[in-house]
Amino acid sequence: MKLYNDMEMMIVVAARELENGKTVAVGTGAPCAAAMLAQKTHAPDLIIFFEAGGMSPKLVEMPISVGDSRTFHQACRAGSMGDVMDACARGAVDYTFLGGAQIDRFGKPEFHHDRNRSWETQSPFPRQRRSK
Amino acid sequence: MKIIKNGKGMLFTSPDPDQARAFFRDEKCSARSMKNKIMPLGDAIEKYVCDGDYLAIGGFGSNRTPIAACHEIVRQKKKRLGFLGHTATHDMQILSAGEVYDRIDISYGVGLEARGLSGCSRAYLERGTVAITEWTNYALTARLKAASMGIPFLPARQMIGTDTFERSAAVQASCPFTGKDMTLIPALYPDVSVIHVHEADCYGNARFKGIAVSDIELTQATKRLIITTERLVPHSEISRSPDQTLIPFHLVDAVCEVPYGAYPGGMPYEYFSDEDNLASWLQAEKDAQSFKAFIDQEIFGVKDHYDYIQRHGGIKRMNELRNKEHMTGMEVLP
Repeated sequence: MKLYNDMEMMIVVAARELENGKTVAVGTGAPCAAAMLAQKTHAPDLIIFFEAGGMSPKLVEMPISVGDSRTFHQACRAGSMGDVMDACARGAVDYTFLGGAQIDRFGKPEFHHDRNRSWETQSPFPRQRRSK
Repeated sequence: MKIIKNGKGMLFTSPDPDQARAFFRDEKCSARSMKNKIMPLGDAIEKYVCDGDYLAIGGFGSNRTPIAACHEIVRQKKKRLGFLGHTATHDMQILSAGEVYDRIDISYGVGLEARGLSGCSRAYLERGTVAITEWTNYALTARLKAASMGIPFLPARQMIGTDTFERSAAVQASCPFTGKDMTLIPALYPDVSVIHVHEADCYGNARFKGIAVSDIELTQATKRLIITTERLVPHSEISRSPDQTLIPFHLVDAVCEVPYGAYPGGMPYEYFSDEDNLASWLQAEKDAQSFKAFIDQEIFGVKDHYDYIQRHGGIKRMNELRNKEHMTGMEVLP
């Protein structure tokens, strides 16, 4: 019996990519979980930015939303979306890290539609995310 | 400036800064006076949210979001609104349930982040009766930023090479200075917006704590602005530390005192989101018939937000959420 599901495996692998002391802007869900796992294990000084404005929090528990108060708990700044996204745009972060509904072989994520049928997402997320 | 290509999405609002200037100059005069703007939330929604208006909601979906105002907009059965689906989650879920909008600029809106996907928002958009133009969250912030600056567009490195660009109403052009590809993002001036804050005085000088999301840009871009506030404070409190004022009075049309106005969403340093309440929406959405009864019970059968809070556990529940927000009893030693 597997002791983990695919989502948990992805989170663990992604967390290992994040080096201590680097700056990463993370999106909701798995990227956020990966950043927290990294910060709690091998990268205690990982600097995490959230799109809603949280900058460099200590993640004690998993935020439900990338804008909830856990995203700026013991943080350096509770800023704005402009603060964080502008920093990304001018190259002032090391990594940005997003989840997608599906991803193609070129690494292009699909967030909410396929090419032909807008709004009829083919992805099973999130209904089957805990099924394995 | 050499145009490379145009997004095929529809532009629902005019980015013309002179039209907006005319509004701000001629029709926003009363907001510029230091007059008492306090009114009940129901009156503010009735007066300032008109059928057909383009509406924006502040906060971040379920965080410092004026949920009480969203309920009131649905309760008053507003129709044919445009909606800014920017960092939207539970707010959009409520407005979708009420079917109050028929066109949407959307970046993030159907998803509920770690909670799942809103069945009702998804079904409402899949039905095909809502006109949809797609953007990214940052592109929509840039649209508000352009509006706040009184200019018709901002160049940004956004959406280039994505399908989202194709479905947006942005334009890709080469920069006259560097020759690099830029996306020209048109200004967005919402007709009316609602923002929830911690404290405001009777004139509309307001301050909030925690992340700003895109609310500062929004307060400067919107034509009308309704503030809902956890607490009213005397003007002397504001003038004692004007550096704390994030929204000055001259942007504000109405001030509504709505304690727990973001509930069941969270309010930083005040109360955490009520996950049981939010989960009940996801559960109810699974069946259209029972969802209708759910909305009747949660919105149409509710008198106002005081009544709503009372029905959801009153002070006892709010205190539990306050403890959760402050992680009382779950302190982690370094």
